Amino acid sequence: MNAADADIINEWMKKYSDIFFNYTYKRVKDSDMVKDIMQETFISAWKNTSSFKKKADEKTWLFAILKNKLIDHYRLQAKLAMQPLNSDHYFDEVEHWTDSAAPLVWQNANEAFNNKEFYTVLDICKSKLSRLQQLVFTMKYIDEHETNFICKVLKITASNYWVIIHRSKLNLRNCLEKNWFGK
Amino acid sequence: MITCKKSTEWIIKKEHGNLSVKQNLQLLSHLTICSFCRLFGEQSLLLNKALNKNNISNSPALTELDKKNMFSYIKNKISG
Repeated sequence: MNAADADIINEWMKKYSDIFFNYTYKRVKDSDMVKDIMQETFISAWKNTSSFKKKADEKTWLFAILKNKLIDHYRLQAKLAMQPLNSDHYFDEVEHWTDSAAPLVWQNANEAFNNKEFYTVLDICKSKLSRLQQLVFTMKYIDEHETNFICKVLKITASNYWVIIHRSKLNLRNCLEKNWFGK
Repeated sequence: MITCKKSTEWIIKKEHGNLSVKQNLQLLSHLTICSFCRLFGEQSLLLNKALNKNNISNSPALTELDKKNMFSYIKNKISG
């Protein structure tokens, strides 16, 4: 690597490492993994500088590479996360709500959404989901990817996808009710 | 009559437009008599809103040392 290459990477890092870190951390929630993804991004970008048209927007171009690396990350994580989903205890043997799990009225829900502490609790509740559930949630609600795309990347069937979303929603709802709205 | 478990599943599918007309009717008739599932439906929408919101949760920041380490890692990788 010559001095000019070092300058290019140094400049990218100066301009984008904080933005990229925040963006990726929100999705990956593990600083070391985030750093890995960013390094991969910059290396891959450097290798492909020739494909970068000077007219194009540098930030958009780098972001596109970052997003691809993120998809690779999801794919790999899903492979690691194939484990049986925990069975739920929200319904009884005739599939009606159990007394302890039946939904209660949420007081002041809209206030909660403007409260920073609420999102800390939401994050904790999300972290209690299985790894695969978390991946589906991140891809769906943060990245807003299409169902078909999510299934393809994570290698799950459509029916499996609905089971995952259904269970995750039940788990999250219950966790928020017990830890925020029920207090 | 569908069960509460089925009803919650269909409520979520409905949010994504994945419910047939027949299923929708069955769901609606369940909801008229089940206040728990009605609550679930409302809360599911609220949850979507919360999940969609760019939450301002406390994310850590990269330190100068982190950046230096990343830079030398990249430099090594590229030279190697």
